[in-house]
Amino acid sequence: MSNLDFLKKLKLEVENGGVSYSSKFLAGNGEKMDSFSPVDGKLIGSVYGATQGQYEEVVKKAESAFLEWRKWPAPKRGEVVRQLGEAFRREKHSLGQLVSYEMGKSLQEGLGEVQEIIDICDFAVGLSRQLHGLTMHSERPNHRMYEQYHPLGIVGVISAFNFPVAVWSWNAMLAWICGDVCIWKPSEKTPLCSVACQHIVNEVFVANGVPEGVSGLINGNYKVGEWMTKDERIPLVSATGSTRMGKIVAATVGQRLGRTLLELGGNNSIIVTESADIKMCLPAIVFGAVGTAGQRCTSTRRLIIHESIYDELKQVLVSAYIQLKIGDPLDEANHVGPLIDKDAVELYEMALKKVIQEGGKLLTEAGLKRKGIRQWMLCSSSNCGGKEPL
Amino acid sequence: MEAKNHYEIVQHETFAPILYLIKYTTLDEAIALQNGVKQGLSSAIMTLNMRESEQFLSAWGSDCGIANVNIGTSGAEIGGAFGGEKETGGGRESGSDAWKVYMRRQTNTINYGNQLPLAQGIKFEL
Repeated sequence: MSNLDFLKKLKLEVENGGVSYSSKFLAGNGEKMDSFSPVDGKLIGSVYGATQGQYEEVVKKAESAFLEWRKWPAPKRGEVVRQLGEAFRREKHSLGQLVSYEMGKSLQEGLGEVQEIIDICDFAVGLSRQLHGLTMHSERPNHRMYEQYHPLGIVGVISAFNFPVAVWSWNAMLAWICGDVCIWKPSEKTPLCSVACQHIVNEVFVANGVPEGVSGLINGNYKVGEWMTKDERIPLVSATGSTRMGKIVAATVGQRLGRTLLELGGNNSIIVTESADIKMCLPAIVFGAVGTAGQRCTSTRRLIIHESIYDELKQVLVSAYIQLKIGDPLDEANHVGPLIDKDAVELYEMALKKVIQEGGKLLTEAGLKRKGIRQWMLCSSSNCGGKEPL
Repeated sequence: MEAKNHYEIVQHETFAPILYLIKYTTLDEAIALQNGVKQGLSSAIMTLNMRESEQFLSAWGSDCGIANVNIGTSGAEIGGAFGGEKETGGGRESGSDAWKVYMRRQTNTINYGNQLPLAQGIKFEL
């Protein structure tokens, strides 16, 4: 990756504050997190995580911001979100490149992720005029019953590396038009994406006089997330990640009877029946299985095939897999980029070994077995924690 | 990989490009295999047979939050509610009425008369 101009466009420096409350970034004095690209193993930049004191500051700002923000008419909040959509349109290409470079998905998918932000902004703008409840007829004379939806307060958002920007926006844009304020704890594997988004949000919020604290950002490891899940001042925690993480979040938030919104693991399958249109199946299956290098929560993991077409489909798939190009995801000729880090490559290898031990059969040489690919995957999928990539 | 649904590793979500091929005979069996995991996020059926697709989408079909016909499992658009059942956690984000989880619902009853009748016809006289 030679042209890194997009970093400058997104206001990213070599070292970046990772804590913010929508007007400015706080000076970095928490844990320093180095972000290596899984594409070429190079250090992209560093982000400072939150100290407990800074966390407290962000929550305090969020609490006071909520008192004001909830009084803004919802369509006025929608107008700010509309402008966010415009800002993300302007930054689509730069941010899409950053998503690809920091996370490792193809540029097409990186751009697609930013498009999801734009789409949810548009959706939220419309919704800001439709936060409706029902009215009911009362059994008592001269009585009227109806329901209203009011904002909750602080929404904690914990997001995962595989969608470093889109999933945050699904939560934040809806929460904001609802009158909530947000505190975002991004994945420690993709901190720069969060800093880039926060810069974009800060600029729009300041220009619109949005109260300081409506958009909080707290980078850091799982402990930072734990401060949030234990915090009674946060009525809703929306968490995306593994089932293991989700069970901990649910138990911690449940302990204080808070609300959770959980998006956890999948084990998704496609059933291919006798009458299936095989030429349509092929892109659906292959994109589902290898898109984002199989690191989507909706990735296709199991293919349940009718016995009458099993051998035919198997052959078609094997020939398609042989043609897949693995390499730099920013090069549009490649289909598959790297896994996020070295641990992920090792888990991949372990899973392949295990399925063979259990009696499974490898149909095509897995990507890792191709000459040089394993070395490339391990070299590039670094996140070596400051160490030199292998 | 050719594999069986009950393998421990097949039951587990490995975040990597591994695809397990499993053979079935009847659609009931295929749906049971599809549902036979702890997770419940996304699912799909490739078919031109309406009976098969409707069964797949019925109450006794896929148990996932997302069930598609003639489309793969990934790449949802934002207009629909996104999320899944069982160990996927039950949350819904993005489209449809997912906004409601970010708000608290308040039921209001307003009396504009000059009497105070109680619900359920309960009499309470002072």
